[in-house]
Amino acid sequence: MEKVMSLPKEVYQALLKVVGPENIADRPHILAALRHTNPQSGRQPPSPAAVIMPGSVEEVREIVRICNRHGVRYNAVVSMFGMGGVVSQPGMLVISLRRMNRIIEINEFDRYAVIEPAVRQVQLKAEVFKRGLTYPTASAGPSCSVLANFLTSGDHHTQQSSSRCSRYLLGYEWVTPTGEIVRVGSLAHGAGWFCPDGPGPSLRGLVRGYGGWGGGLGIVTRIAIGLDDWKGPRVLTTQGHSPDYKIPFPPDCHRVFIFKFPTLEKVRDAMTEMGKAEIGQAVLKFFYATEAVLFTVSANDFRDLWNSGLYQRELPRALWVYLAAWTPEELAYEERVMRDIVEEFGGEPVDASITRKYEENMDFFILVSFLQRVLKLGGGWSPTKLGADSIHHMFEVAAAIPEFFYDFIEKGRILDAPHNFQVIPMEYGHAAHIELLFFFDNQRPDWQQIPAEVMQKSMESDIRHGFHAATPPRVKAVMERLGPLYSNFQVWTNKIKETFDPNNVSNPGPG
Amino acid sequence: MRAAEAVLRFREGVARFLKADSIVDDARTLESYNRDISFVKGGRARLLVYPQNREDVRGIVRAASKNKVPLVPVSSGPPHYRGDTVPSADAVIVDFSRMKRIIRIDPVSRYAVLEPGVTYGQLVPELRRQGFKLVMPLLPRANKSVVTSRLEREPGLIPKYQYDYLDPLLTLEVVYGTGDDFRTGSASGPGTPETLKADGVNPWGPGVLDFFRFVSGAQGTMGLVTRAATKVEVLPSLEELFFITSGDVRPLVEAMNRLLRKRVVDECLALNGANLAAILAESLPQDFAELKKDLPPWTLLVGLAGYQRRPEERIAIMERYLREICGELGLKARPSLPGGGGREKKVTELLSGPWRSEPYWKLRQKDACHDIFFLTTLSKVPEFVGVMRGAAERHGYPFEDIGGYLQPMVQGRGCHVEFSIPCGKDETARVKDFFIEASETLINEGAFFSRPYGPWADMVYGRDGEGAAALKKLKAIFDPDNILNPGRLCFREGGRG
Ligand SMILES: Cc1cc2nc3c(=O)[nH]c(=O)nc-3n(C[C@H](O)[C@H](O)[C@H](O)COP(=O)(O)OP(=O)(O)OC[C@H]3O[C@@H](n4cnc5c(N)ncnc54)[C@H](O)[C@@H]3O)c2cc1C
Repeated sequence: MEKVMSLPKEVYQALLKVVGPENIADRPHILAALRHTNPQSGRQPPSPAAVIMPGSVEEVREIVRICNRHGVRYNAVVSMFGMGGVVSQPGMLVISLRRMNRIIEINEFDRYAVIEPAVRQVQLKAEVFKRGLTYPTASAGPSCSVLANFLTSGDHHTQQSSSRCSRYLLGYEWVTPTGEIVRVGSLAHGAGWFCPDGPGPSLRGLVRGYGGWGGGLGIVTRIAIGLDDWKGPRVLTTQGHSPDYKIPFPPDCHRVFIFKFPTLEKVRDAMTEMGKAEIGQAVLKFFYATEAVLFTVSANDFRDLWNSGLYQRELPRALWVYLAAWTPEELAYEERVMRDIVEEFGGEPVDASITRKYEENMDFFILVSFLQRVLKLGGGWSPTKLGADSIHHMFEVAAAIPEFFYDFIEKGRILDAPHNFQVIPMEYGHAAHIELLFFFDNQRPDWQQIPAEVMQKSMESDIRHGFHAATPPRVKAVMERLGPLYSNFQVWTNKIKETFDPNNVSNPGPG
Repeated sequence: MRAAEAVLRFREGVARFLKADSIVDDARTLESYNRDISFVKGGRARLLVYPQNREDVRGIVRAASKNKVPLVPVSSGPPHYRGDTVPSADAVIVDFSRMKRIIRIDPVSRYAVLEPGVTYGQLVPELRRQGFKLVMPLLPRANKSVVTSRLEREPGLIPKYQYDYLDPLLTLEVVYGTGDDFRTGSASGPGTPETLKADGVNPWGPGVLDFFRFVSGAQGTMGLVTRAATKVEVLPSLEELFFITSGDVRPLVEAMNRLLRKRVVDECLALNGANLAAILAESLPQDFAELKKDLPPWTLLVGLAGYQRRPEERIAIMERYLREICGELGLKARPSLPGGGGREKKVTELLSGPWRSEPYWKLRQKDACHDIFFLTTLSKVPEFVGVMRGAAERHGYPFEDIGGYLQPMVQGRGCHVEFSIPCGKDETARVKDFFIEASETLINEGAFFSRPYGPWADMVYGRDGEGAAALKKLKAIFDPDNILNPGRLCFREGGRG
């Protein structure tokens, strides 16, 4: 068994005093559960020294202060579905926020919800649906924390008609790495939870940028998120039982279409025009292999579907459109506009069996309840790119994927799925997000190098072409090497980290 | 080093790269920067410099940093209203009005890249020519800088296009107080602006920080912006404006909420009689007085739009929703403006561009005008209108003479509320008392003064010690010598707090 670093006795005792003995542990079998390998990296994660479960912002503040006094490094987590590992270095303290799971307020008139860190997607979504409301929900699965997702990533399938989650972050309560409680924006002024920016320069910029700190700049104990009106049913009716279930929507106001186009440029142009016409609840070029994984219930099913060649024939240059409207007339109008555009760019419907899968599983557009299926192949998978700019630029990036990707395919190191990328426009096409997903066999002896090598080749391609398709990850050595190419952003990022976390205790990163 | 000597050394430094006519020390010109229409009084402009490009700006900042000379950036033409360009100490004015290139208008990805001196008067017609429109603030003066207006988070007339309070601002190129330049979001790289292929429309990052937010609402204290990208929207091929009137703001607020949450309307704002009369009057004072008498206390203006494809069909559906919502609330949406004397077309024209005639509409009644504005949620708007009315009564200022403007923001999740108090020369002291007391009362009641100009800064930051401390830490990083517009916001004595 791996040797586990433990906390000094007096530190453990001080922490225990804050939360009581039932909310802290350092027993080996508990810590073992916090260092499982994830299928993406293969890296054996370091073991934490202890785990603590605060129940309030005051307890979080006390814990952070103790950590500062004793130089104990910590990371806050909820469901640990994030892909960065639970702790980045051995001997850290895991601050599990699972007890802080209350929905504090849902304001129906002003359209916001105030939540604690451990409120899960499945919990909040059902509550807001009941009130005819919704919010941008990343396809990160029902169990993940809404707050963690809003702080770390937040791209999702319906951002054509809304935006990334980060735009919907309306305010936050933050325990700084040195243990002050800061409330940001209107909240600090007794004005309510509706505006995160100001007074003056916006502190909202500290808590996340394109991506999030992954726990590297203190702990957020509450956030407010913006809500939108929901055009779908207030209660979802399910037919069948998991894993084989259906969630259809009333077809008079909700319809899904998938069209294939002769070239990727035509997909791009149809997507751009739909943005300019302001139609579509969701418009996207989705991953075709991931879709095959999502819509099958076992690895054997997936193999059969993939080997049939249907998806490779129908979906490499396709556009997915979900129309949702308040009335059938509005839906009919959007459909006419959509068809004008599709015709103009030479699109045709794909095989009806593919579209039917969506019509039967509309949760694809709201929560992706079956996301865990992505893990079912038992192999490895990983994303790369993960950036945003204009639709045009994202397709320019996509067109260059074969330059580095085929080498991995030809050597049999990854699944032969060169079109397994998604481009999702946001804010009616004002920008778009790109992500390239690849699958690999984690029984191969060299499998641990595959994700890192694909990511590196992808980054090299971006740099060579001047593509903004990702920013360097928060890994010190990579940031130092590549930061100068990105306006020296590492200099300012490091200064902010050093200023706000002088003892470098808040998830310092893998180094 | 004494201030005069420091400025002299600064001048020698910048004379090495600025053209002679870009350095101005003429007393009369300098004097014009020393005050504005606000109550803010301060130091003196000692020198005026006009940068022409980013290199000039970097040079200016480095020379200022070396000689510890405060810089006050100005991009819009006069008159200024908020005191943010009045130097708080002896300072050098950096006037960006000669950096006025529209660098790019991209018709496919719908954005424009601008230098800070580009004005609404310059950009709006150019965009229109190419089939695009800019989400406008309410009737800005034509010489107002588009970049600074967006940096200062001024509200726009079309809330449905706004996804957060910084929208439609996209990416920035900025020179920090250290003299280093920086590009935000997807304009950051990889590589140089010349080799980068991205359009620069992803505002977030780079990395784990939203750098553009630190410079927003900063009144020039965090960095000098040398170019910025902003969204532009498709010019509708068909537009219809409707007027919904009421004696009370309450039903109008309810209507705004319902219309915005269903995304029925494009333009969506409410004006009271005093503001509408000031905007529409042909002549003063007669026409203004009559209009003010005839116009209803509050008018909600909503625009419906059809874009390039099937515009009539879109408008027909949205008009049906509009009528249904108004019907539910016992309101009427009319194409005509009751009491407006047939000036509907003028309203439509005015809303699509800047104010072009003299004097500026807020100065049509009296010599000066003092605005009180803040953010709140739509549900609280009626309460704050009541608070302002109470303050006006306490100070004997007729409430009907105060301009009222309600601008929903971010799809209606927030609302900018603005009261404009016209002020004659002989009533400055009285209006100042009213202005200060009303602002304090509103803040106490929970109005969010998110852009704390002039006297508001102390009122606001005095209540938010932790937030001010965090801002001072940021200031010390981006402007360690405290040379960028010192004395503003919570940055009083020294950048290090
Ligand atoms: C199969 C799969 C698919 C995914 N697809 C998507 C997708 O489509 N879109 C998308 O946006 N994301 C996606 N993700 C990523 C996912 O959204 C995030 O990992 C998730 O939101 C994390 O939630 P969690 O509850 O598991 O948080 P955790 O893993 O517990 O935490 C995530 C990170 O946030 C930090 N954190 C947590 N709580 C706090 C806090 N209170 N204060 C400060 N920092 C905190 C932690 O330090 C950690 O680094 C996917 C992940 C997987 C595994």
